[in-house]
Amino acid sequence: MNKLLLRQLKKVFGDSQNIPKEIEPFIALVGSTYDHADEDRHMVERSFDLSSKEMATLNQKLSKQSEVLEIMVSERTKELRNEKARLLAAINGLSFGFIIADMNDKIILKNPALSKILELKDIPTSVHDIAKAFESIAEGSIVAFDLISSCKECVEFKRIIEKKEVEYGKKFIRFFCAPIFTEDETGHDGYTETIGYVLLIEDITEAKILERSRDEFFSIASHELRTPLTAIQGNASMLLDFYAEKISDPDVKAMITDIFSAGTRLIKIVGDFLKISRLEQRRLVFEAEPLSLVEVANEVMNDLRILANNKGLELRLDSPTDGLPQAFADRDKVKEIFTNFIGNAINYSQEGSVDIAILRAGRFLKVLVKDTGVGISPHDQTLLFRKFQQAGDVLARNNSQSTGLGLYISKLLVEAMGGTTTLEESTPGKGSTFSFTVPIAP
Amino acid sequence: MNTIFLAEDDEYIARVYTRAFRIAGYELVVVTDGEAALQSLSSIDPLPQAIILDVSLPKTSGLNVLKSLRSNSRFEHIPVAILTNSFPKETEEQFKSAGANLYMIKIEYKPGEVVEKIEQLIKDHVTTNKS
Repeated sequence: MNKLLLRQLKKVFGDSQNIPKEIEPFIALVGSTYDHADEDRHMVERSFDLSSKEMATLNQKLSKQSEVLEIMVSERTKELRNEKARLLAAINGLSFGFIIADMNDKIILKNPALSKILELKDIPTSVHDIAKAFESIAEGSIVAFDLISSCKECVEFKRIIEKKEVEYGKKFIRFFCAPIFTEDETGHDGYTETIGYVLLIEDITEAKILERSRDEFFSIASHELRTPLTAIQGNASMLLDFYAEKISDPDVKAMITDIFSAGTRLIKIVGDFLKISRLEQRRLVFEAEPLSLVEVANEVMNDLRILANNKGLELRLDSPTDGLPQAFADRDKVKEIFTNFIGNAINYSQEGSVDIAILRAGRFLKVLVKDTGVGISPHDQTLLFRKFQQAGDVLARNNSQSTGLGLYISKLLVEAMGGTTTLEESTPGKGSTFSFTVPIAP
Repeated sequence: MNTIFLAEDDEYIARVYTRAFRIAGYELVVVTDGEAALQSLSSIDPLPQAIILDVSLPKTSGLNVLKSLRSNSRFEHIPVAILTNSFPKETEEQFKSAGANLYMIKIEYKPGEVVEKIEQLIKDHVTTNKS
């Protein structure tokens, strides 16, 4: 019998002998209920016991994991701190002013160069403070550059804004504004959120002064050179043109002729110098028009035919019989390039021929000039198209008429019109093929 | 004697052109700055057949001399040539619209060629004014 039930029955009847016989089946029934209850309790107790153990193991695991996590977090924090230190050092070390602003133009981060460049007395807290500095330095005159609206444009259209030369008192400033945007957490494709912008403020005063003095140097130097050269050349040419009969000594006449020739070369060098300086500063005006390259080539070939014939060189042009589209370029400049390429081919060839070919190459027309001249060694090929480079000293000695600037000028002219210049091939002793391209008229 | 007026501040160049014009049968009246040009021209008699001006002249620029000449009816029928070696801020078109009849870069022409160009200018001018 169930122990608990037995104890309860003893409390009621004193002894188990006193339990009336007629309730025994009932007691047996109750007893089995008690037994079931006991079994249930055992089950609960056992499972409780088990889960306690499991909990303990889990706890242990968790605390281990949290330890690992803590180490990781502290390491990452340190990394982040180092990263931040590096970034800040980089930003603070920049020679130009640096600002990170939020969407309300509030300055979140800036570097010391900013206040130094703009000579700010108070610490700026907003980009509006910077804009005010521009207004106050302009002293009532109109500020040529609206900083705030430029920043707005940058953020609104997610576009980099650059202003190259903004006057700031006696300084010249370059502005650069770039938007900062993040990818949206919801992961929508292409959706980004703009959270502010980066503003760079660079002091370009020195570069500007340097550029100006370079310009002035060139125009003054060229004028100062051209004036005495005009006098030297003028006198030499007049001696030869009007007093030739009075010069009886052939040596004297030869010397005057040399003065005139050297003067002519010097004048050409000064002229080339000027042209290069204008081309490099993009000051030369190009007037592009639809034109026939074959026509220009023929003009130049007619001009240079005497020079070629005197050396016994053949001058030939080859172009597709079904015609070519028109080029879109500045006629005089194209003529100058042709003259330079064909002139070089004639100058550097002692015998054989100069072959010019014009063909279509995609959106461009390509002009090939092939000579049977001295050729260019692989080493000298790397020096071509540079300023003051005639390929090799040997060639330079052979050709005192050249300034060494022709190929470089041609390259600048071709590039300014959107084309390219190339040395197609060259074999020393056999000849070279040069080419240039000009865009086809739309 | 046929006279040509020249404002030129470089003495070597002035001498070159003086010789070149003399060979061609002209007398060249030379002044060396802008103010001298204006002063000399105000009393010049007889009038020169042509006036040649340098651009970068001391005291008053060639452009100023040109403008002042073109506002004076006395010089209405006299051709003015600009002969320069410098790179003025003004373009050839600006000198032409201010009344210059010819614009030349000195170094691009031999003195003999400059004389020929001026002679042609005088000839063209006479024909234009007669017609």
